[in-house]
Amino acid sequence: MFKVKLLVLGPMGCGKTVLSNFLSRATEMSNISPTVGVRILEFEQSVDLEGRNTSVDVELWDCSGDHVYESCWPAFAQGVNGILFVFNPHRSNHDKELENLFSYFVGQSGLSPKCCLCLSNQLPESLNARLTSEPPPSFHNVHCIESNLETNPDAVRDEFKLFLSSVLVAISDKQNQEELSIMNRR
Amino acid sequence: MSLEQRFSIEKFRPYPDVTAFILQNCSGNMSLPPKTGRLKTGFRPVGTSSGRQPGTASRLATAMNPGTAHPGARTGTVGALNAQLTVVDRPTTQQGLGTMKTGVRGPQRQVQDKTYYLGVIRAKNNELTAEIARLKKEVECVNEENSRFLSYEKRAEALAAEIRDLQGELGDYNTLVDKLTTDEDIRDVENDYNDLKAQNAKEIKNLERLFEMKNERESQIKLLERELEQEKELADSLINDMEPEMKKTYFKLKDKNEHFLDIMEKNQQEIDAMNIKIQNLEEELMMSPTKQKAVRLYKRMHDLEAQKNSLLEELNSKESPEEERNRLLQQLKSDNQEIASIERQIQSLQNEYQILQDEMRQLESDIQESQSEGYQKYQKLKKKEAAIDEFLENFDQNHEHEQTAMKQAEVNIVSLLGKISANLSHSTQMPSSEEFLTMKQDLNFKEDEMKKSENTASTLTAENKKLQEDLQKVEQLENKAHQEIKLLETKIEKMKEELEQYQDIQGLKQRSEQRKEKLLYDKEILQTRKNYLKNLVESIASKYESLKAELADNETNTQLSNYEKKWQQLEQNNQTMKEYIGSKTAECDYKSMQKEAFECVDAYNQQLQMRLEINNLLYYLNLSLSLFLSLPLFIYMFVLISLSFSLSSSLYISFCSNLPLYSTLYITVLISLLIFIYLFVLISLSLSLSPP
Repeated sequence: MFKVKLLVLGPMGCGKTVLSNFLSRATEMSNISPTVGVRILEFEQSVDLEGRNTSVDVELWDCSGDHVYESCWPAFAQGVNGILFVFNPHRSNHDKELENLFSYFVGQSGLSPKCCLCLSNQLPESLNARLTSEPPPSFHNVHCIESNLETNPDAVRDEFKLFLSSVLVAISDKQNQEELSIMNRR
Repeated sequence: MSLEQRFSIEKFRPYPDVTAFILQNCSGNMSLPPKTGRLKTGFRPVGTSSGRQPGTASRLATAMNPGTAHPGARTGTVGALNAQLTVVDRPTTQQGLGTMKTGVRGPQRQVQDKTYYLGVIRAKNNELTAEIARLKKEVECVNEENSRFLSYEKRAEALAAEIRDLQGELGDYNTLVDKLTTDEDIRDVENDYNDLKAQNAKEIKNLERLFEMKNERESQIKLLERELEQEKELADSLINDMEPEMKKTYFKLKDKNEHFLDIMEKNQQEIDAMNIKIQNLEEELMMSPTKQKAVRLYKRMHDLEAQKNSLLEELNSKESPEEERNRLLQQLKSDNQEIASIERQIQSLQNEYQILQDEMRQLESDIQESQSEGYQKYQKLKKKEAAIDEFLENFDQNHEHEQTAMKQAEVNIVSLLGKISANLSHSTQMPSSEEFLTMKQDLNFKEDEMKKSENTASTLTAENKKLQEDLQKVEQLENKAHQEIKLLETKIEKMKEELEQYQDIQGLKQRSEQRKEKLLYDKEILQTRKNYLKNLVESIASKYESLKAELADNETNTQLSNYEKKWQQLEQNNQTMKEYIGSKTAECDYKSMQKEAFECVDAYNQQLQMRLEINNLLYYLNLSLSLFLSLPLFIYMFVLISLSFSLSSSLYISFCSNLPLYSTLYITVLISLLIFIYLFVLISLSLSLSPP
């Protein structure tokens, strides 16, 4: 049984809470207010890992995108195993903020880009609008997907599963490395 | 029992029983004739039957009457009073109750027609006349017996007295016989006799004394009566002395009082009479049960009447009968209505009861059904429904509640996150656990070191204190040492000087030798002197002893010594006396008083003198004033006198010597002047010589 801590990061109002609810299969809320601080969603997710079907305890941290809670970021970053970056491609200022977040959480913690997933979330109200922003250049190593919960929710879930498996692989690799390093020290 | 027999029984009874005897005699008196039982009953019917006798039809009723309880009870009471009669008077009762026989005889004759009744009446009449005659005889007999009884009584009294005397005599004889049988001496008897005599005398004396006392009492009573009379007189006099109005009122009151007293007495008498009457009536009542019954009935009747009256009153006080009827009808109607309504209620209640019973049955069946599964499911669903309903009802509240809780939780989360991140940033700078351990050890070590150094510091301070104290001591010692050094230096100087002296040993020796010799010489001289003085002292002592002995031998000496002692004593006495006198004089020292008195006298004298002077002054003043006032008069007088005198003298001279007239005038003037002066001087002298 694996325990994974995942962060959902992104600028304000890009659909993080909706996405988190969807992933955790939580009941849909009709009116979603801006998240205060953080919402931690725990759920089990079955994942194909090296051909085996294993269930993973996922601790999904639906973090607020408000900069008011910047003081809480160190807590978010503590012991993180993977990050889901979400942004609204129809907003022009989202790429900058994403860059900012990426530099803080990935650059400082030394998390591998494999453990990150970038979701350009298309919200239903701006479905036919023009794309104004793309993932910033620092995301070139990060796997980026387009997600639309209205039209294609299953794809998002599949992508999430894949991401989870890669995260698990990274974790196991890290563990192995640590074990090896301990062994080597001796 | 005959009277004689009774007497024989009563013969030896003492006197007090005579009354009882008489009573018994009375009762016996009744039993004496054979028909006395009838006598008693015969008295009563005289009153009652006499009224009834003429009645023919009632006679039959009376004939039947004896069968009733009335006469039977009567005879029963008589029998109870003197039970002795019952046996003896049996035949008389049979005879007396002839009516019974008539009653028995009655049925013998079947046809009771007029003639039969006439016959019967006649027979009865004859019987009655015979009876009356017999009764008259009896009455006579009784009267005779009564008179005889009085004489008997007298005789009985006399006989009783005789019996008593004889009994006394018999007692005496009996005692004598006893004495004789017991072989007592006659002397004892005599002694007894004497004793009794003495006792008798004493008793007599006692009696006399009592008599005297009685006399005294009587005299006292008389005195008191006299006093009472006096008092009455006094009261009368008082009444006489009273004012007329008062008198009037007094008499009025007196009359009233008397009147009241009379009334009271009358009333009392009435009361007594009434009481007597009541008693009589009660007795009578007691005698007859019928009357008692009547009383009872009367009482009951009274009660019932009272009840009736009360009921009537009640009736009167209430409405008229018609109104009452109406009212009662109305009441009846209302009651009926009420009853109907109650019945209806009862019916409805019964219906309800039936319905409820049906329901109960249904419920029971339901319960039986509920034990099946379907019912259980239904119940579950119902529960769920209830829960949902509840939830829906409480949704808004719960929602709000949860919202607030969420908000609080969010706030909490934020704060916690902030804390955590802050701590995380700290934790990056924090040392590892090993480092921490080492640091801790370091700290411990350092703390130990610090403690040690503190200990050393404290010990050092303590040592410092000690040392400073030592230093002070040392300083003191130094001072001492300096002083000592000085002393020693002076000593050394001395020693050096002495050394110079002692360096010449030979000289020293010589000097000491010389001194020794000299001293030895002196010693010898003093020894000799001492010896000489010793001899001298001895000789003088012996001389003194001899002189002393001589003196002791001398008589004059002893006398002198005695005188001396006496003198001393006298001196002492003198001293004490002086002291005593001194004290006494001090006690009665009048000098201060004298002084005060003298002073007082002086002051008084001075005051007197002052007063005198003032008086003198006033006198002079008065005199002078009077003189001053009378001076012109004096002068005038003088002038007149002198003038007259001088005129006369000059006239005489001129006449004698034939001098001219002018010369005479001249002389007169001169003489008058002389007289005036003389008088003036005289007055002034008299004034000056007047007492101060």
